[in-house]
Amino acid sequence: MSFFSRFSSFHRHTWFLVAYLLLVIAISYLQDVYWFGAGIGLLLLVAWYHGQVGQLLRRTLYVILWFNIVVSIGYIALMVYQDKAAWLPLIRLNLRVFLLTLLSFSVMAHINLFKALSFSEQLTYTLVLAQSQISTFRRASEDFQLALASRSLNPPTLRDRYRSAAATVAWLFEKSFFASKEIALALKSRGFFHD
Amino acid sequence: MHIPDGFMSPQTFLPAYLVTIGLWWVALNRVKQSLDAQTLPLIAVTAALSFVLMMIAIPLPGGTSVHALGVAMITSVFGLWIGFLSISLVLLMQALLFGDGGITSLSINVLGIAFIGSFSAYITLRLLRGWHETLALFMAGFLSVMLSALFIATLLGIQPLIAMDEQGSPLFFPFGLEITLPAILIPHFFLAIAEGVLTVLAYRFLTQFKAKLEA
Repeated sequence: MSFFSRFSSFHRHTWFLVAYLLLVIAISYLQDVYWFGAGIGLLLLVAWYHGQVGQLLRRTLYVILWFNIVVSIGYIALMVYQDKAAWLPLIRLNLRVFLLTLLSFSVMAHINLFKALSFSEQLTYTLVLAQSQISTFRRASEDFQLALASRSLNPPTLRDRYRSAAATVAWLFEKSFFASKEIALALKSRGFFHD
Repeated sequence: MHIPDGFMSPQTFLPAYLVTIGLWWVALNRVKQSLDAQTLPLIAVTAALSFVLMMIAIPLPGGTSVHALGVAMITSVFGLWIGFLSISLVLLMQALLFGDGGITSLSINVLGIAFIGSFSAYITLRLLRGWHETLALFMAGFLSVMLSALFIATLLGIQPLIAMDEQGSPLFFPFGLEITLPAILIPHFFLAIAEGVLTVLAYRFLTQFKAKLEA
């Protein structure tokens, strides 16, 4: 396969992913708060058209709120201590973080990551396998927490919580050991490494 | 320890991407010979394992908790390059699928958490294992957290020096090293102790489990 024909076989989701990465780099070079405001407005307009404004805003704020509040409060405290009022850097930082995170969630809502990475069969399989295992492990980990909570009317003691965390980790290791062997056999039986 | 998008300057994250891509290339070449029906699922399942380990809260006295990284644990069991690739895969999935840690900071998170974390654990194990295995495992866990935190605190702390506007105000992360180093390293010191203990216990459990299977 020649260099160019390799690119021509890329899925359209791959090109969307590339365009998103280039846009992220471009935004990182912008410093004007009006551009950030315009970008946020545009993304919210597109999200409103798709009926996703509430969902996107919730996800974005959930991810950035804690980190941004800590940094912003620290910055304001520093301004008060140094007796100066330089609000622009704080507004610029918060708007940039908000725009980039909102852009990531907006793009990921429309891109199929597995199709975007389909240029590498092994990478796609690894991602699919990892994500399916994550779902299983997450469910099991939540079950362990619920099991601990359901064992007693009183809140669990520190010792109980340690024992529960240890049991969860032990179960996860055991499960991952066997899951890896089972998947290996499944891949082998389907001729994955011989196609 | 994950940094969201927008706090790192492109002067930082673009060179970090070059180094990260280089390391991924080296790691893939190292495991390529063994990239078969055994190793591919192993990387995927190990990535899933470390993803969930990062979610498990380790309780601390006083009602608070910290989250384990599991980097040293994964490296001590599965080796340096599989550990590095698995943790990288986790960080990639966290950034692209769950929005945890941004895409601009992915390279920095990979260098700090996946590379420095697993490399420091690997070196520590190699240096100390022959002398005292328990201490080696504890120090591998401890140093994997502290050195990762030191790297990320340093990169955050130099942002005001790298990128500033005409008035001298910071364009990206606004605090210098005098703030980022203690603010990040002090809380991570407690996490590092928990991580060290977790590495020792998990390794002990796994070796017993393997021995039981082989018996």
